[in-house]
Amino acid sequence: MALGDKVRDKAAADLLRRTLVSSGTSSGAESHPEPEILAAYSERALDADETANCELHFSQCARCRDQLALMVRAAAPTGALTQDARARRFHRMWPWTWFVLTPVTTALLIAAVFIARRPASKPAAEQPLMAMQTPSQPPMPSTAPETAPEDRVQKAQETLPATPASPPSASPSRAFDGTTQRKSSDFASMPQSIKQEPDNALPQEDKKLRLPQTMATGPAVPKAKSSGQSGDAVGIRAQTETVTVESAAPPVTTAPAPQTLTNPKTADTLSPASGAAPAAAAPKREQPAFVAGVAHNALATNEMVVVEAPFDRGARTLVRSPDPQVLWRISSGRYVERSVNGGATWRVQWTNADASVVAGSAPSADACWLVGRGGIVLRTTDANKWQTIAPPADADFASVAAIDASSATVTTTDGRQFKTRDGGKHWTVAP
Amino acid sequence: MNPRLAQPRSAPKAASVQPPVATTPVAMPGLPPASAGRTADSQRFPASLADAVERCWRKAAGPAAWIPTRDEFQAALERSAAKRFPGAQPYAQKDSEKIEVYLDTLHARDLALAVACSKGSAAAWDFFMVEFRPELYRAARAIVGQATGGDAAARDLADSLYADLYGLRESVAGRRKSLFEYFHGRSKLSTWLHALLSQRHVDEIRRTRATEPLENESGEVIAEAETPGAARPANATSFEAQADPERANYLAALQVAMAAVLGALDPRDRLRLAYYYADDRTLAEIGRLLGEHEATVSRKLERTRRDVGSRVEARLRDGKKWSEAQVRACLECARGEWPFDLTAHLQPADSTDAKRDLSAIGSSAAARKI
Repeated sequence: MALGDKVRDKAAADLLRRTLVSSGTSSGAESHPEPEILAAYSERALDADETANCELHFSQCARCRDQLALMVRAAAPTGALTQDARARRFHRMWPWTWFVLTPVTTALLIAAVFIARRPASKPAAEQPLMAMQTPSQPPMPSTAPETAPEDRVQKAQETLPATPASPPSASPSRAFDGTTQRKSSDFASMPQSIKQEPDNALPQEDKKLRLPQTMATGPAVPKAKSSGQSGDAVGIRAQTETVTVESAAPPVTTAPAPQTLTNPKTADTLSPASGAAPAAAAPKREQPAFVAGVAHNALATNEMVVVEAPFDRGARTLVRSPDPQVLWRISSGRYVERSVNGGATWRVQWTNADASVVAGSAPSADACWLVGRGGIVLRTTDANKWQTIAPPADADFASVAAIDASSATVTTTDGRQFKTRDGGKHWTVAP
Repeated sequence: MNPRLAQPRSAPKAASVQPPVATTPVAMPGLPPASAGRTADSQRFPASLADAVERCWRKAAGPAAWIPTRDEFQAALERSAAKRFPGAQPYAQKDSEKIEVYLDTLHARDLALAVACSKGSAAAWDFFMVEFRPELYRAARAIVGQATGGDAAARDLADSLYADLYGLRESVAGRRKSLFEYFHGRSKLSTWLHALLSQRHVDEIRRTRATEPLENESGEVIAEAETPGAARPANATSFEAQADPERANYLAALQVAMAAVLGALDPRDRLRLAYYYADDRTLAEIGRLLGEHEATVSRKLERTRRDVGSRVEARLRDGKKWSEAQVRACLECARGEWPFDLTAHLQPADSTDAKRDLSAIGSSAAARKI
C-alpha cells in the first residue's frame, strides 16, 4: 500500500528535525572555523571548496550557525527590523491594532471627505511652485493687489514666523520650496548608522538641480567657468557659487506672487516665482543658478550635475548612467550612494576612500568611475564592490570621462589628462 | 580627515615577467633581504609575484602616519598566503599562479591597518578607533539585542575586544600577541570584527546560560526545547521503549538511514535543512544567511525534504529488504512521539571527513587561546 504524500512529508520532516537537532547540537565539532573564515564566508569571498567545507561544518555545528546569525544581525542597519520581525510583531499586535486602526481610519476618511467637499482654495504657496516648473507659461492671473517686489518681501517676512539670522556666507538668493526639510542631525550620523535612506530619501530640495555652468541654456553666462576642467572640484564649488545671469527676457509685468517664502534655516528670502518678475525689476542681477525645468533637461545627458546640498552634509554630485533609473550620488569620500529607481531610494556603498571624491562617470548601469583629491581613482564594475585604482599621478583629480568599465580618461586639477584602457593597470598621458 | 596617499617608501619599478619557475628566493626590488616579521611557516615570494605584491601595496595606500613599511606588508602577505595554502611552494608555477590570484582578492588596505595596529603604531590605533569604534559599538548593540542587557552589555562586549586586539596578554615567549595577527585580509576588517564579537557573545551565552536559547532577530527567544526529542536525555530508556521493542527497532533503522542520507547531501542543502529544522529559523532569516531569496529557500527546502524522504524509504526498502507495509509502519512511528532519543548514539556518517576538512579551512582554537 502506497503511502500518501502528506504522510511521507510529515514523516520526513519529523525525521529531519530530530536528526538535525541531535547532530547539530552534539559536541562533535570541536574545531570551528576561524573568525576570518566566518567573515569571508559571510562576504561570499571563499572559493567553492572552502565554502562547501564550511557549510558542511555549519550544518553540524549549532554554535557556528548561531555565530553566523549574529553576524548577519550585526551587519544589518541600525534599528532596521527585518521584514520577518515586522511581520511577527504585526501578527502579535493584530488583535489590538484592529481595534485601534478601525476608528482612526474612519476618522481619517471622514476628514478626507470633509476636506474634499470644501470649496477649492489653492494654497498660496503652490502657485509660485507651479510657475517654477513651467517657466515658459504666462503668469497666472491673480486677485492679489499688485505691490512692488520689495513690499512683497517685507510683507512675507512679517507674515512668516521669525527665522534665525542668515549666515554671512549665505547666498543672497537661494531657492526654497517650502517643503519639510530634514534635520542636520539626520545626516550627521549617516556614515555610522545608515545603510539605506528612507523611501522618500530624496528630499524636495534635492530635486531642484543646480546646473553646471556649461549646461546653462538660453541666456549667456558670462562669469561661468567651464565644468570639469575648471581646476577645482566642480561639484563642491558649485554649491556656494551663484552665477550672474544676464536675463534676455524682456521686462514682464506679472501679477505678484501672493507670498514670498523664507528659508527657515538661512533666512534667505526669495521670490519663489519663475524669476521673471524679479528679472523684470533688475535685468542684470544675481539669480539662483538652478531652474527646475531646465535641470531636468540637463539630466538627459550623461554629464555631471550637482544637487543642492542639504545643509551640513556637503555637496552631492549626481552621476547619471545611460540607464535613466540608475543614478550615483557622491556624498563624501567615504561613501557613495546608488539609486536604481531614478532617485526615489538610495543605497549607501562604502568606497574606502579617504580623500574627497569630487566627480564621477558611469558608462553603464553597473560600472562607475570616481575621482577625487589626493589621487583617488575608484571603479566598480558590478555596482557593488569598489576597487581603488592606482592613480597615474599623485595629484588632485577634477573630472573623469569613462567610455566603458575599462576605459576612462581622468583630468587633474592642473589640466593634465591620463587615459587607461585596461581598468587602470596602465595609464598613458592623453595628448 | 583628509589624509593623502602615502607614497611607497621605496618606489620600486615593477618587476618584469620572470621565468615560470624560480629556484632561489629573490628579494623584492628595493627591499632588505630579511625581515623580523617573517615566521618560519611563511616563505618569501619569488620575483614572479612581484607584480601582485605591487598591486596589493598600491591598494593598501593609506595615511602616511601609520602605513607599515613595505617589507612588513609583504611579510603579512606571505603569512596570509602560507595560511591559505599550507605547504604550497610559491616557487612552483602552479602554486605561484594560485597565490597571485589569491593576493588580488585580499583586502589589502585593511590588512595594512591590521599590520600597523599589531605592531603597536599609535597613529594606526588612533585611525582604527576613529574609523571602527562606532561600527564596533553599533554591531555589539545589534548582537547583544534587547533582551540581554542593552547598551551596557553591548559596550562591555565591544570593550572586551580591545585588550585582545592590542595584545595585552603576552605569549609564552614574552611577546605581545595582538589579535590583529590573526587577520589575513581575507575579509573586510569590519566583518572580521563582527565575527569576533559574535563568537564572544555566543561563547558567553553558551557558557553562562547553556540551557537558555539565543533570541532571534526580533528579540524573541527561540524555543529550542519545543522541538520534539531535542531536550530528551540521550540514554533515557523509558518503560515505553522497553515495552515496544519493535518500534524501537523501526526508529533506530530510520535514524541510521536518515544519517546516511544526510551525510550524502550537498553541504548547502544540509545547512539549509539545519537552519530550518534544527534552528527553527524562518525562510527570510535563512535567505539572509545563505544569500538566497526567500522563495528560493522555500523551493529548495521542499525539494530536499522530498528527496531525503524518498531516499530514506529506498534505503529501508532496498537495504533492509523491507516490505512496503514495514516501511509504512516505520514511517508511522516517526510521526508520533518518540519514546527516547536514539540520535545521540549516532555519529554523522561523514564526521571523520568533516574533521579532516576543517583542518583545511583553519581552526579557531589558536585565536581563542589568546
